[in-house]
Amino acid sequence: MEKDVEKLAEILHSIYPSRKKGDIPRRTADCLTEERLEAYYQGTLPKSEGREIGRHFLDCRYCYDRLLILDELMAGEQVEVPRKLMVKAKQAIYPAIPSGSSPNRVLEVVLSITQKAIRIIKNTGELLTPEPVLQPARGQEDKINQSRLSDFIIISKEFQDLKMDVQIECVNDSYKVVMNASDPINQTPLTGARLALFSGGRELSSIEDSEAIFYLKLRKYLIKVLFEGKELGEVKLDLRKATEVI
Amino acid sequence: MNTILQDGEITGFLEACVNRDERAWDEFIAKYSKLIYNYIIKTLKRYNFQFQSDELEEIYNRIFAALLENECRRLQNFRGTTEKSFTAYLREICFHNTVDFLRERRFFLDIEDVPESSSQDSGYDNLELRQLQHIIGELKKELNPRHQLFFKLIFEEELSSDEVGRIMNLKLNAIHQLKFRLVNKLIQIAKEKNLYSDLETFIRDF
Repeated sequence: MEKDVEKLAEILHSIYPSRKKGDIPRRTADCLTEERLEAYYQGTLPKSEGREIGRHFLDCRYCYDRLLILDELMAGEQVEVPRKLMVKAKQAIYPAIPSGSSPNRVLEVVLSITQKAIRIIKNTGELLTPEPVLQPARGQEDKINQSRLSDFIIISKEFQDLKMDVQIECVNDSYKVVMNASDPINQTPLTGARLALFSGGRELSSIEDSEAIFYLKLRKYLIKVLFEGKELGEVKLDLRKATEVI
Repeated sequence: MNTILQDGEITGFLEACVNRDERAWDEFIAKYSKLIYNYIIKTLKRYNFQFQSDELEEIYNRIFAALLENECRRLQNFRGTTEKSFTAYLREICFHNTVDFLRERRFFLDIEDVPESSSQDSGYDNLELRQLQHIIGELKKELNPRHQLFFKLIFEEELSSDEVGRIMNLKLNAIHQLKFRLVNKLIQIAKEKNLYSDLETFIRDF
């Protein structure tokens, strides 16, 4: 008998054809909302209701298919959305925002180093660290809120398809600049980006990554963010020697 | 950025989207793109549609267009209060749009054009196969709805035990036991309905 059961089970596995195209799922008045379908799937419905829905699946391809799709979605593998699609979605929402490179996609930062702190002379981005305060003159330390002293700053600028973060830190007599390019929508690194450092019209360095560290001297620099051959944005960095002494 | 919205917060969030608040839409895209994109893929696969990436993109864009049309009417029409119910609502929108896409592509054939069954895998000729399917169909009618659903998932859909377990909230052990009991039950029903001799022929010849 047990052998018959096993054989019949095998037969049953072999006699139903795999799904072919042709089934057109049609919604009926009795069809479940997706929310109810999920409640059934998660087993949170009262038993009697669950039984009733189970019966419905036998007759309703529309709901039955959605149940299997839901299972695949909840338990199956998920893929990441290509970034260009998310950008397109945003363009659909804001068609007025121009796409591609634009002459205004520039973050301009002019800094000078004084005794210990960085001084911002010009910044067209958003300063994420406290406003740097210059080192007070000797004997005047108590007049300055020490927590506001800073020798590094982070500046951020967001465009439609690019977010640039620039961290600038004083290291002895040079500047350590950490540049990050990320996706403004999901904040993930801009995979496939290239960060190119220019000075005096010459390319000094180029890094095939969304993050780069440059050790810079007092000079004017240009860092370009390139993606798939296009220039997405640039950082103009002017590092000056302090002329003022406090 | 992808924080879970607390109950009640979804209303304000969607209102901001309806009012074309840029930050709200950034968050919307970040939060729900993956769900939309993967739901489309799962649906296309469910209907065995061999898709190209541009077709996938087309449906994805179509869903956003549907969300935006008529002053974001679909977002305005959402009546729930939780993010969970909103994601369910969004899945419904995804399903409609994907199936509409398939219809437009005339992907679905008239039902008459579709072969009812294939004898390739079973080893039976078409006549035998139809006869066997008819017998099983008669026996299946006597099962309770839960067992019928189980039968459909495990034999007709050929889903794995894990999948059936998730869908029917059953543990793996229970699935194996239920499968055995179910087939046994079919044999009992066949005996009661005097169909066993026909069925036995198939079992013997298998």
